[in-house]
Amino acid sequence: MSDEGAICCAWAQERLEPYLDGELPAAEASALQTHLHSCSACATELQRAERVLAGLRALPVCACPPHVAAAAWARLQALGSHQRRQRARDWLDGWLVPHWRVAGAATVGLVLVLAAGYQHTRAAARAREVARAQAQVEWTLAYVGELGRRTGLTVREQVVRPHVVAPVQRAAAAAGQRRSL
Amino acid sequence: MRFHLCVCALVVGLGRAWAAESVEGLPGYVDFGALSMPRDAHSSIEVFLKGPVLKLVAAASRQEDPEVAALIDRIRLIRVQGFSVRPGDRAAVQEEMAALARRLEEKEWERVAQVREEDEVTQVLVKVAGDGDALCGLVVMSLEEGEEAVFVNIVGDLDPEQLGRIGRTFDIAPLDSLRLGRQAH
Repeated sequence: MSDEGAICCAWAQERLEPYLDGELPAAEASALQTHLHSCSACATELQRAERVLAGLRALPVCACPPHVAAAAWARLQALGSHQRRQRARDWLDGWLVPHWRVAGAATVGLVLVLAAGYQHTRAAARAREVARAQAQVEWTLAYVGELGRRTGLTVREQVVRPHVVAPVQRAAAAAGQRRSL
Repeated sequence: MRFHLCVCALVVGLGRAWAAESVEGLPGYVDFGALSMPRDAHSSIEVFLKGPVLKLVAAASRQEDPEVAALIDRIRLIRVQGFSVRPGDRAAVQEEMAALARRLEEKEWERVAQVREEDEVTQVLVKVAGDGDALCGLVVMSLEEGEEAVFVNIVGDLDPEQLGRIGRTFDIAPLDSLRLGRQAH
């Protein structure tokens, strides 16, 4: 506080409002009070500031119209979601854009692996189906062949042999006997 | 003009594809669904193989046995229906087999074999193709002593001698697992 008269008043008047608001540190408040005791100009200024402050505090408090409060709240919410979107964009821009090639290649690779797996599964299922159908075809042909063999045997044993072969043999034997006689 | 041509080509293609798949209209086809089995008879064998699957089977068999593959290539349908029959229902099943044989004979099928032994009845009928040289259908019906009735229908360009000869090369016993109720899951 050199040049005590001027500086003290300038220093003091800068601190009048925080002093009235109770925001001045204790040491400065004490120095200001000391100055005010000896400086009528600053004391007058303090009184003027007190009257202004009292007049302001005496003013009635107006209620905020509902539409104003709603508009303010909407603006705040919009600002909040905008900030969230912006943060998401910043994150994407910060990570995805520099790595989009890697991400794209990884996605394509994943799709190819999944498609190959699906094709392999389908191919395996198709192979099983064909194998089963092949077994069914072979069984059917074997069954038909077996029936044909049994039918042929039956016809040979029960029809051809007794009704064709045996009579021919008997007739041949009888003819041979007659010739020898 | 181009649009109309494309539509026509599409219709023709679809029609041919449908016709190729539809074996029910072929002369050698027999509808076993019309069989009237006793109430207690339950299905023991079901085989139903049509063109596309048979083509795959022929392709799979080609390297192993080209003659079998060539035979299967000419087959359009293989259908086997087997039923477990109680002893008391054998007469009814036999009558149903005879009735089916009569219906087929009315449709110009030829009965080539009918064997009746003590516990076994077998009937074999064939449908001759239009030109009279080849067979387009084969039906085998058998009521076996083991309480089982089996109906087989094979449709296609058939050579019965080849069918029987190739069939005898397969061992039926291991394939018996195809019977329903005995399949491994």
